[in-house]
Amino acid sequence: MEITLILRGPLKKYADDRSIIAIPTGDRRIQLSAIVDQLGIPASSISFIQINGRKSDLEAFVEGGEEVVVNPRVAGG
Amino acid sequence: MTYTGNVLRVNLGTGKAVKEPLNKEWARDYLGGKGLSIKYLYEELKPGIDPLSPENKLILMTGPTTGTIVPNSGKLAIAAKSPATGTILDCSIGGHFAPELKFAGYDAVIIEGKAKNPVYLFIEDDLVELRSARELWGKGAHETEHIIAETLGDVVTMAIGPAGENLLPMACISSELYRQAGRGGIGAVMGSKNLKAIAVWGSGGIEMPDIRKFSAAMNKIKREDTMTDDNMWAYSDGTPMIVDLCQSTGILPTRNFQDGTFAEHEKINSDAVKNTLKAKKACFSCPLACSNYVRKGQSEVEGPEYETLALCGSNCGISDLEAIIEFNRLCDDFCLDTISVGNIVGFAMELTEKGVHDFGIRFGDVENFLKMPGLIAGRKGVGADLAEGVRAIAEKYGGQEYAMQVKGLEIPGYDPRGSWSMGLAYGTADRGACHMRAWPAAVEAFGDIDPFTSEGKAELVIGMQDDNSVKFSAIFCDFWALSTERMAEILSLLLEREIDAAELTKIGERIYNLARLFNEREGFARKDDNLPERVFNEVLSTGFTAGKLLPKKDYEIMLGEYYRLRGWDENGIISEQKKKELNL
Repeated sequence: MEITLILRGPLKKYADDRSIIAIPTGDRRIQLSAIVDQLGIPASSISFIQINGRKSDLEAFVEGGEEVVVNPRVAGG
Repeated sequence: MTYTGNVLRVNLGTGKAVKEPLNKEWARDYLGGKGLSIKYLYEELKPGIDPLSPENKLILMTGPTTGTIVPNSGKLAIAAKSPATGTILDCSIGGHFAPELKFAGYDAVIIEGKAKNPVYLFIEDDLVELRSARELWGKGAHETEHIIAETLGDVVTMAIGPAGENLLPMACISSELYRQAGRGGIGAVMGSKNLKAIAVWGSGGIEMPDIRKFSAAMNKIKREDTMTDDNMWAYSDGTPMIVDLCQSTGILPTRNFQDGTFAEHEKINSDAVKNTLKAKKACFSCPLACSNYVRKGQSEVEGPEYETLALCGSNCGISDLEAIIEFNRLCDDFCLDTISVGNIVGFAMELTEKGVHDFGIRFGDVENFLKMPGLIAGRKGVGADLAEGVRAIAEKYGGQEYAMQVKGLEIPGYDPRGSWSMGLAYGTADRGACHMRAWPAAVEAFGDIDPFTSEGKAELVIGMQDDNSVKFSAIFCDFWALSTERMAEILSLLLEREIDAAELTKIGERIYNLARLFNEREGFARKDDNLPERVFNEVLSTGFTAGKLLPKKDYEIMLGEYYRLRGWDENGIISEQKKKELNL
């Protein structure tokens, strides 16, 4: 099983400039904070996480088949 | 010190222009940009004037960062009394006009009175001319700029289109074709003065105390603080990124704020815009280059920004990106605020579908959608009614509960039912519903703070309003998320005196309270710090915010807490003690 991880905006630099990557989950549940740590993305660079189009957070677990979006911080309006 | 020390005061009635000294005492207390232009207007305008009368003044104000290599310092404040709301109005426009004005030798231009016939103002250092605009009147801003460029050569121009000439409350001022001073009818102030355009060219520069030390410092700051993860979204995507942020948090305005998610959001999101991208563009001294120059089919524009994609896209049920690009280009040429026009068209669509009044347009109707900018700017056909804005349309035909405006200014692209702090931000913004005074959605709906509680929101909004007041007075662009400490560090170098973050926060508080005092003098109070009934009474139905609304009692709690923390009374009036504390 794998999840689709989408790194929005400048965060793709943490995946060699690929904004969409597949992350294998095997048959385990993985916490999103672990995935983000492994890629070296500082938590301070992230505004919020989406799982399948809805807002979630780094504490959430995924098990495979989900689309996870990592959003950068955005200033201004 | 990086002020020129000169203000150009132009009286269009007498045709005279004088160079006068910048009020240094006011500059010390208000810095420049937003704060200093509001101070001049507060002191020089009598309460109760008609914003479209010759008594109103139009002020162009730079800041101490303007014209230097401080990152993100290219913007200009343009201020007046607002034709849309009757409040104080300060706008912010990017591009290259501000530094050129400073190179010409001026910190500010104050425009008074009214010309007998259409004119444009030309400033070239000490040469100041009022030239006939009879041949330009009636033309769009784009053709106007081209003609002036052919006539005068390498100048930077700002202009109004038919919307400003026809005194629309949502007329904007355009510069370099695609930059706008957008909201509150600032373009109508220019139109009411028979002023079609302003062109500037400057041969001077800014005297820096130690250019080597300053350059080294700015280059270091640019690398370590500007071009970072926090800000590079502006380069990688620009504001279209916010479409997906709002869709996934359920606050994307959809069909006149009837819902918070749009099924076809992928047709108007950042990925969709990137498929049309031809070039990135930047303002003076900006490494972030947030602007996207796009082309799709026969249409091209610098944009569309998030607000346009939301208010003129999902809010109108329109998912055709080429149509939105063309709509954007038309609005830029006619000089119409896309936030207001998107709200107006969405409102007209809902009124038509509900059978309240037939404006001949329904959600998703691309063909009639594209006719709207021309009809509205020209006050023709249904545009005659629509050109007055949603508050006036509702007064005439009904639908007040879902006329999405505060104080007469239409609401930007964040549904308060999914971001309660944005509700408070809209209600307490100085110029009507505005997301540029405070944008707490950035850390609330898009962050860790619970969007569906009243707790802590007053403090959050006040902090942002005061910090942004300083930011837009020193002049740093919105999109650089720099700390007050960093602003203080840079301003200390520019002003050659030690300034700390605490002093800047005080200045910000002073500026925001002065804006409030201007409005108080015009009769504004708690009754005007209100939101449309839709926000209090109707739940959203899809996505993350399904079932959510902003209960009125919670809004009143936030507002009460806001007044208390601000040192204002229960009616939103500033206390004498607070005025004394801030030297107002």
